[in-house]
Amino acid sequence: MRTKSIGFRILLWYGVSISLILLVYSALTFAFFYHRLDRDLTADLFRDAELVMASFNPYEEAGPDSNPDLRDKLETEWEETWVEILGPDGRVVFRYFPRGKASLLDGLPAMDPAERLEMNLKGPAQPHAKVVQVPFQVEEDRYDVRLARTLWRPRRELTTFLLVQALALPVGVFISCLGGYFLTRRVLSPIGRLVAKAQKITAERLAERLPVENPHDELGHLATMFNQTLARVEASFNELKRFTADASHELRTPLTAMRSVGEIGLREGQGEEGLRETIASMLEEADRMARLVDSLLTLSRADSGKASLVFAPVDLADLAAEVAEYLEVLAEDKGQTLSTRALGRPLAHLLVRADRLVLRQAVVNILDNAIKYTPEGGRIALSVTDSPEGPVLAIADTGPGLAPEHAALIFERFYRADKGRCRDFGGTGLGLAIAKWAVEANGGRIRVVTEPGLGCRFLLVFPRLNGQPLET
Amino acid sequence: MSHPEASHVRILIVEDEVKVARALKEGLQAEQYECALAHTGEEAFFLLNAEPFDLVLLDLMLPGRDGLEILSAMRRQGLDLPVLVLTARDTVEDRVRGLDSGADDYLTKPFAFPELVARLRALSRRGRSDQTLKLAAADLEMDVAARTARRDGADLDLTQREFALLEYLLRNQGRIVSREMLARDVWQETGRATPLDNVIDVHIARLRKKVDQGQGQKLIHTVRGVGFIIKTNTEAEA
Repeated sequence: MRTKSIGFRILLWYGVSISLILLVYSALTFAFFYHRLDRDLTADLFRDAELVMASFNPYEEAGPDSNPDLRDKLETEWEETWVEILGPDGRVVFRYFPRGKASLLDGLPAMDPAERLEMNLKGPAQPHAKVVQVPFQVEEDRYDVRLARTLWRPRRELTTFLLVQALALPVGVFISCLGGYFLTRRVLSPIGRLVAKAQKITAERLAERLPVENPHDELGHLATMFNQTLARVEASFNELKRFTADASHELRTPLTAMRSVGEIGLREGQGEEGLRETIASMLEEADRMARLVDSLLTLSRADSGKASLVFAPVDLADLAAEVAEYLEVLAEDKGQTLSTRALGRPLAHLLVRADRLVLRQAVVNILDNAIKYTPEGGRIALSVTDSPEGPVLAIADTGPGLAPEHAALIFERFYRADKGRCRDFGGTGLGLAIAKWAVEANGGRIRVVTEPGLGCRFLLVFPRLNGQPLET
Repeated sequence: MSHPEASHVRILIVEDEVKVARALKEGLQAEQYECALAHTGEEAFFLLNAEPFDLVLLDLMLPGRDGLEILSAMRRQGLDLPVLVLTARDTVEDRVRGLDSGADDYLTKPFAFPELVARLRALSRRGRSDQTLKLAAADLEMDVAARTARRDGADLDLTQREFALLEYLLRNQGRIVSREMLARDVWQETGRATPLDNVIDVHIARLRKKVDQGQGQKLIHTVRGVGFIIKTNTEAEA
């Protein structure tokens, strides 16, 4: 059943429910009808008993042919009615059994006299029948009239009724199912159209969207949701395509350099010194490529969620001081001031939950970036402060700053505010992208506050560690 | 360059990439190692059972049998010679590290040759580390215990980092030291994506200034594209 379509299953359930409902309905109707027939028969018998009384002449001699008028009436008008009238002494004074049917019921059962009674006769030897007894007075004498009638006629009616039901029920079920089938098909057909359309959507045609026939019904919701998912997939796919294109471009650059340097090196008359130079240059390019590949691997591991982080409390001040000490020589080399005392305040010792190595990578990348882009003699400051948002590690520089359109894209992979310039510094264009991932993987957020001419200020904001008081 | 400790050390190189295998063999032979080549796991296994080796250089990405399989099979057979594993930098690296696969050391590709030589040296003289406390090259002397260094009789004023750097270069005197080696052994950095090269270069430049400035003989040399080396004029290249 699991393999069948939804349409089939709906139809099956529908058919079963309709059948059950119709069966219950038939049973109830039958019961009602049966009861009604039974009651009618009893009423008929009582009424007929009155007629018999009215036509009975008690003064006639009892005998097989007495009361011929009554006999005649019974013969012609009533069918299958057994009649007995008992006299005051309890003897039968009138008896009429239907012609040819006498053997069916060779006598009415004994009943308490002088009572108005009804009873059902049943048993293997005799036909099912209903018997009534009505006492009546003729002057001073009391008579009892008894009428019996077989249940043959009501039985036949019930049988007919059942037959009609047995025929009508399957037809009803069939018609209902047919209606259900068309209804189901009509309801499900938009799904079929969605499926057909979805099948046409491939990696090459991600821009296609599913038709939304009615945005307010369930299928409309489904299609809308699907379209939203599709939009996200398309966005990541495009990003991936761009990333792949960028990566191959970035990889091709050192390859091209290696190739041209090698080809030039192979020209005759280079001399040993020249060849050494050539090989060294090629090795440098190979190094650059290895670094780039390593960065790409870091990001691809991050993307695929393979990077396993080990979280532990990390003191942001310690981390900032360590990274500052580590990269200080680069700043010194450019005559820059690298300070870890923003506005004369020492770094606040705030704990965050992070993978220290990964977080350190982020800080190293950002600080390295700041040192690279800040001109000689500039200032770079690291600070750790508490903010309402949580602990903040900030790295501010007095570099050229960025226009808003660049600032928005600075964490994108391979994005360079100044094309071509970064490579002179040996950058891969991935440093800040890795930093962004590293901060976010540690539950933090990263943003840059910048304006042209006013330097950059990178803010790494982390969730507050549980129970850590806000320092004032 | 001749290194006495390298002679008569037999290395089995298991590497399927023909170019890399040949480069490794030639490079290691130049370092006075005896080398045999196996291009497949089966071949490696055959050779290991046929001849004695002191060291195995094992590439993990092999056709047929995976390098780790060979390694565990070797260990099961009771072959306990040191194994240096070469891996591409992906999940295999973690497996080598994490699963305690029986490798003695691992190196990720691409690697600098000096680094490989340093690892092999460390493995082949396992157990006895270089404990010398007095180091010297020409008129440069270093007393590791007293943390002093002198050039031509004059004390050098070195920072801690510079001292560690010079000590490392001196211990590897006559051999090229790559930036990766410095990053790992002097800075204790593991990730290669960290932009450390500039930091190392600046420190080397400062050290060179303190050690070589005003001296007739330069001791610290840069080998472009590879790394750095301390060598005296007697070993100087042409």
